[in-house]
Amino acid sequence: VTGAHVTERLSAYMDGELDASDRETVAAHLRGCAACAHHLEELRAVDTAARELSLAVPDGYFEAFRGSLRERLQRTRPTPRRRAPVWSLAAAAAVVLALLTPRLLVRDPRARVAPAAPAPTLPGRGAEPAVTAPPAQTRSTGADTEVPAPRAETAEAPPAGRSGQRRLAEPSRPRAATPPAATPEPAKEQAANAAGAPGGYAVAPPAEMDEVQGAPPRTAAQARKVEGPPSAAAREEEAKTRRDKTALGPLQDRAAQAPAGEDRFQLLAHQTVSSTADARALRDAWRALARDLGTGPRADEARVRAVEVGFEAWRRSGDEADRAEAERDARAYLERPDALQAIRVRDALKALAR
Amino acid sequence: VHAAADPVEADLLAQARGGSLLAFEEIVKRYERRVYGIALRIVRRHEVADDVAQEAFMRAHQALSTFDLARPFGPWICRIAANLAINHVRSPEAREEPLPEGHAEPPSPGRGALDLVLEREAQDVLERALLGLPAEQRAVFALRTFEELSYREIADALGISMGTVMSRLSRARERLREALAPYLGLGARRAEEG
Repeated sequence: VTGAHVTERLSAYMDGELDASDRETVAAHLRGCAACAHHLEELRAVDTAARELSLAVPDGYFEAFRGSLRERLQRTRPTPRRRAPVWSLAAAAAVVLALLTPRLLVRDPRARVAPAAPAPTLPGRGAEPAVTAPPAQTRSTGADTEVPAPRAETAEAPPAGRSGQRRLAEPSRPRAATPPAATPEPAKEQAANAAGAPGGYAVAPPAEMDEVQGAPPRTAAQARKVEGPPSAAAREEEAKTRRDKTALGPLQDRAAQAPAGEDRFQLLAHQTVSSTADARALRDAWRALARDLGTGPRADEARVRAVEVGFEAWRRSGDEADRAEAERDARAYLERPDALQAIRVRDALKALAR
Repeated sequence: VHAAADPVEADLLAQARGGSLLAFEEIVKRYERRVYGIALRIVRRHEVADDVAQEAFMRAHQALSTFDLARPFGPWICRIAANLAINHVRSPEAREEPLPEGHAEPPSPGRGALDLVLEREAQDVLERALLGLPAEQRAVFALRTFEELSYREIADALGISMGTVMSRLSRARERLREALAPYLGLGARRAEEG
């Protein structure tokens, strides 16, 4: 026998994962040790036997699998008719604000012009009955059995709408703070899309303009009406304001003021990105939430979403500053010892590097 | 380093990214068995594996905009499925689930009755030993043995070090070997005796 037995290294040896020196040591030992050589053969036999284990699935299972997946994808795919314009988001924000924080609205200078009226409906569609939860789907295979939904802290990402998978990934529905019945239908559907996306934001077509009906006022723009043409500094200020305070502004501000918790998470998770400014604002809001939450699955998800929506900001703007920010967020995330979703962030990082 | 993506696959993915559900379904057809398999090897129950596989494809579809089309889709979707499966196994609900019964497949014809019985028995033993592994070991074993990912790829997928991959895999294989010991080499011995 050449040296001590090498059983602990046989597994890696078998996989060709030892470095050259270790590999040679093990190989030399194996040439002179029948016990270790036999052990290696047994490990190989285990792998072979495992590969031969069959995957017993019911007949027609994969056809049903595809059918179910197709339905889910169709349900989450935004259609042109259903792509709610930015004003609906602002309107939804207004409703949420009106319901949640009427007293704050009075104190907040923006509240004077924030659209606090009931949400409009899509032109020509009329008001639709509110839906309180996404439709649960039942598979025809009978493969799904109802299992209690997981507690929120075990959930990794928002739902994509299938009943069974609730136990895997679905966080609890928004609670208390945002009565579903108050949300207009188009915005709700968008919100569902947003929640189902891996990055947590739905990608709506870029808005033609940032200036949209129902959007909050821009401080600098308002000032310009009074003070005449803007100076370069004022233009810069306005650009910054436009970046920071778009249609997402009020909701984002309110989210920032809300306690760091599930409601605030849900508020952000239901945002839809329609412009570069939206993406930037949402990125900042996710960062703030992650900072406030500190640790835990929700903080982790918030960090990942900040990266992904940051990527979206860059995709829309082509601005190097956005790319750099997203990359910085991604790298900071990957350096965290408690990062739970490194693969997701690495994918985003790779996309940023292209 | 990944091999370059299959051009047909890259084209399908590009179409899927452009909104074609048909193209994405073609991708699903290519990987559904693999994805389901990796999920099942980790979560152990068909209905949960089914959910994991569905969710993995949903997430992949929704993240296509960040996926590098020059890379193969397989390792990516398998990693998504593996991570989802591990997350499930770690959840409190999973810990309450009883172990499933072994598969009840009829033995394939054309072999000696004793061989079939022994083989069937060995498969049951191996299946149960796999189910008895800690989730982390099972995940590493599944990614290596069924998906043939490198240690680096497994480490990246699970967010652990290569050393941890190595030790978990070694421990998993040792436990399986011990469980299967009565059957290992049995075929060879029977052949010698016959």
